[in-house]
Amino acid sequence: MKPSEKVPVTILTGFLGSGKTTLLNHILTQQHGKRVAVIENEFGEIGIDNELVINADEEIFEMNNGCICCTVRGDLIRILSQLMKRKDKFDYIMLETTGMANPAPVAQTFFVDDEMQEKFQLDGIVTVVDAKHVWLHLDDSDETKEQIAFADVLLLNKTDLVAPQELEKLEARIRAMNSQAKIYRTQNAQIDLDKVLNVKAFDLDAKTLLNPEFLEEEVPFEQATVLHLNAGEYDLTLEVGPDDTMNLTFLPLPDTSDEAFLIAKKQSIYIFSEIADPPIEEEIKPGFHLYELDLRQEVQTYQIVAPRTGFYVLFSQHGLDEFNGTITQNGLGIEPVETKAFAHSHEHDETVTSVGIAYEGDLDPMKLNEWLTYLLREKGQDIFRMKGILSIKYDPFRYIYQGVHMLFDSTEGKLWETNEPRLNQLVFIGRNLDRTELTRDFFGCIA
Amino acid sequence: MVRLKQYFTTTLADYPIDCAWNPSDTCLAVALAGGEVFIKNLMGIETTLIAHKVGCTKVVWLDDVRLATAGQDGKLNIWNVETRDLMGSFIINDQQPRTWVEQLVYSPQTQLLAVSAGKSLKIFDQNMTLRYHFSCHDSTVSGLSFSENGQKLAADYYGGVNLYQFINNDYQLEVMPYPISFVSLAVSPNGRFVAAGTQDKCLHFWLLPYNEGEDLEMTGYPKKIEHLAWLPSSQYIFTAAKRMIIAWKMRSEQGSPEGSRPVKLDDHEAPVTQLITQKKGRLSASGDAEGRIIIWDYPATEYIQTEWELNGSITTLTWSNDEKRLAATSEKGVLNVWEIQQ
Repeated sequence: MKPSEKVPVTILTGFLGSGKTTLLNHILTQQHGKRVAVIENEFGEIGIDNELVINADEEIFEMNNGCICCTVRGDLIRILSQLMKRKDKFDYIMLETTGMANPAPVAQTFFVDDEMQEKFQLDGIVTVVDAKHVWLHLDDSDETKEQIAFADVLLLNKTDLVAPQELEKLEARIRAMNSQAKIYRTQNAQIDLDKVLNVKAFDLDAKTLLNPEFLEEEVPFEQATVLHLNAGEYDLTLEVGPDDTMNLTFLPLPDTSDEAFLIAKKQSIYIFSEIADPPIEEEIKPGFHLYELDLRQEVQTYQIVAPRTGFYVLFSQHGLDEFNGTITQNGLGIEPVETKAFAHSHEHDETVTSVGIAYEGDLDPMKLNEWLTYLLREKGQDIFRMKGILSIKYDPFRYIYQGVHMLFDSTEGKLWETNEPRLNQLVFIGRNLDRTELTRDFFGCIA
Repeated sequence: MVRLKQYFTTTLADYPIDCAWNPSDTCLAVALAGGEVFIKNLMGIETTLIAHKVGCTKVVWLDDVRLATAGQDGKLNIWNVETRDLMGSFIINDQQPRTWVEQLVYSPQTQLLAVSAGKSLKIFDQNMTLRYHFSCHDSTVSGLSFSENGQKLAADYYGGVNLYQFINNDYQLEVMPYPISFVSLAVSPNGRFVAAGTQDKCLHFWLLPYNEGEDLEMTGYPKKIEHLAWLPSSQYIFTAAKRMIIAWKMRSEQGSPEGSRPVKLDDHEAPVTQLITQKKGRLSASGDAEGRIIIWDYPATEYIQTEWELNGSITTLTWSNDEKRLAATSEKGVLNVWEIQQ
């Protein structure tokens, strides 16, 4: 079956009372020319007036395929198979989950089952959020977090019941959990249907798929400190800070131009993917070496060695100021020429977060495959969604990844145009994601 | 050598979902996706009943006149086919009346009609008196199968199989738990086994009478087993997973398939969509997604006896009760009947 002949399916999630049924009825009563079949899991607050409403049972079971988080919905497979016998009677499926449902088994059903893959196209996951009451669940309900994390489209509904500043706060909080979803504010679930139907969120054959606003280039360090040093030794003094250790590179800079800095930054990205070692005799010398500084003591001093007079740059895993860091020579402070900060905006306390990585260049297919295999095996339970458009060395086509927990599809995407920047974009949404580790390991796949 | 001789063909107005011969083999009823039932009298008379508001899922004949139809409107309807009158209409799931009626089976021996919608299973007698109502299933009943004598009825659902035994106007229930969703179910004609294909590509057997821990599982299937059919002797079961048909012989001391060599009948080039056996004879028939129909005479021979093609995926295959005719429908709306010549 050609992709265009597959029946699109939208998964609708959200707590009971959030407005799912209102949205469903809105969809069913609009003149959009689509004949929609509805699979619902629970009785909503109002009924659905549609001939094609089917009740589901939420039969979640583990696939016997060795994948510990691979749960699917047997009832959906059965219902959708039955529906295909009436395929001339409808052309869209809305699949409503219970308020407490984890969307993973529903989404995974479309990845695991051959028949489902062949006949249906998962279009997107729409989550309706009760803007007034979601705060009650946001901190302690895993289901709410998962429903937000899985969403491609988030409707902040009942906005008329919430003050504007509360709404801003809520949107920021939700954006921190899921950087990629499109967020719309609605009252009574009223929304243009093209914003929730046929959004093609799982059709990754798009030139730009990921939300670029949240894909600033990720680097495995938080600060670059550009210094002008005369030949000699300097003291780098650090106190106890937010981490017991800090990784760091020290590179010479021919000048302070943007080009020179960019080369040093790329070199540091490579170096940060290597294994870090403690400095021998506490000396930090310029070169292709990743130093691991032990910062457990109250005050720790390392020697920075500048073999010749000129510009240098320190790329550090954390900001030096987080450790009250100073650089001195004979007791006199050395002021940096320039300090650049990276990745500040992504710091927050959510357990459910998004990690976006962007990098212009090519990746090594072997290294990438090894990393993703490891990652999904070890961390698949915590990775809810993964999407990526990647540039593989010598491959003229985009390489496209799409995953739910440990399950993923990878397909060849569009051709890279001549002179088009080969920009890798990769997003993880999940629980307890280690941004530093993900970023470092990704950069370890650079060709 | 078996041969198929064209008997008649006709065009249907909609997608055919189920098909049944009346007891005297003079009439065929075809359930259609739009809710109608097309009835073809072999004398040439054709009628269409508007049996349900939405899709008709199953049809069974109670006798030569009364036809039971199940619908996606939640109803079981009984029709007088001669007068086209609706003789009775029953809601099967009282809690959720619009739940699709998905399963409908009839035993001519016990004259019990079993019908399910969601978790609700109702058993009617020949007079359409409700004999039993079972709502003890944890989840939707996804399959129903009678033993040949009609005394045993298996109902599968997510979490296990309930085995109902009807003796002397009473029943006994045996719950056989197994935590999986099922896609196919068949009680062996002799009532000694319940076989079920599972969503995770296994074939599960329960030996009857049921003893916990004595069930068997056959693994290694590349795809889900969507179709099961027993030969009348209960010595062989055919299983269809995608384009492969695999036959198992019940050969161990208990008569189970343990230690049996599976035989692959892999002549279909497209996924098998239908698989049936005869109730008295030794032939079986399979149809596939490209419209090909194959008649098998296994185990007498592993080779194809004959084949035919229809336009479109085969949606139903049905032997007449005297097993002298075979009816097939395809998704393109073709109903074709052949005479079997041996």
